[in-house]
Amino acid sequence: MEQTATHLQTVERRAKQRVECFYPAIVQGKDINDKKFRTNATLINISASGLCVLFKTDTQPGGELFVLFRYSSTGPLGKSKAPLIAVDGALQWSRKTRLGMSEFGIKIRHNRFL
Amino acid sequence: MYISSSDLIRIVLLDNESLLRAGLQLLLEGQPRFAVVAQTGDEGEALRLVEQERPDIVLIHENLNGCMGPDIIPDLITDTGRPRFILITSQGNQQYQSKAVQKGVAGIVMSQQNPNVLFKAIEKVHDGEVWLDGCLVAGFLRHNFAGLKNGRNDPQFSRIAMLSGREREVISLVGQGLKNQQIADQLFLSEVTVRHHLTSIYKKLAVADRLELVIYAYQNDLAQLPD
Repeated sequence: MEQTATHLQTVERRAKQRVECFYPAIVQGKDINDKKFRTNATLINISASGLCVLFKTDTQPGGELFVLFRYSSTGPLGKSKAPLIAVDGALQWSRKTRLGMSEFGIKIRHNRFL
Repeated sequence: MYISSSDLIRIVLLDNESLLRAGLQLLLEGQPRFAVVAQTGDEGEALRLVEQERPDIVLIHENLNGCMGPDIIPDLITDTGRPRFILITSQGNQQYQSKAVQKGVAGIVMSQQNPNVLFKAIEKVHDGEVWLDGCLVAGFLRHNFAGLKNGRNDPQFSRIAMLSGREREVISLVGQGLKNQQIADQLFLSEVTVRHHLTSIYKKLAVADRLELVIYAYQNDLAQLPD
């Protein structure tokens, strides 16, 4: 059987530009036992419509999460003058990483510059 | 001929070979319009001298050992003043010269050339012109026109091109984390005007809110992170 070679080209289909980053963040929400939690996290990427954070606590699918981060490696509580942003969003997806942490995709509902 | 102090071209001389530096200083001071206000062969001292003297021209003589060269220029550009830089070099390599110009060199004089060429170059660069090899200028024009031609098809390019200077300033300050009132204070505007600028920016860049604007600005070099 003759096979046709197809050239796959990666095309950015996202409507909003996404910034890859590695900034400390603080996440607050409810875990799978419906118990409130607040934990340190790492922001992996962000666009105007959503963001991806890495932390350990398992959370409820579709649950509401509050993320606080600063555009700086000093973190939200650091003294940097970089924008400090609070985001309120809903958990869209999660996946386990090999180190026992989880990546969470959050759809932004509201954001506020503090 | 009397030259008033305001007509004098104040020069800082950077050359890490003291004998050549002394020779250059003698040559320059033989000209009535030039005043060598400081000279050094040490990079650390060069930063201090340029900040202290605020010269019109910084003359960098690059030696074969490559200690003093255009790499020092970004450090010499201070908030308080921006002198113009002339490089004296023996390197005729166009790629090298092109990199020097990108770092901020406004004039390049080959060390094999006549001192009169150097005097002319200093005067021209001081007057706001550039003193570069014709082939180098042609190369830059070609490169820039090619960039423009490619940019015409890029939607981001045409969006950014629509921004006014003031709008770019506002974006830069938003990217630094400033609130509207702080931006207004910094630009001597009212907060309402800043809001009007932001509305116009959102429309031109097709962004929905401040978060999207900040992301857009970082992605497209319209703003720099504060640290």
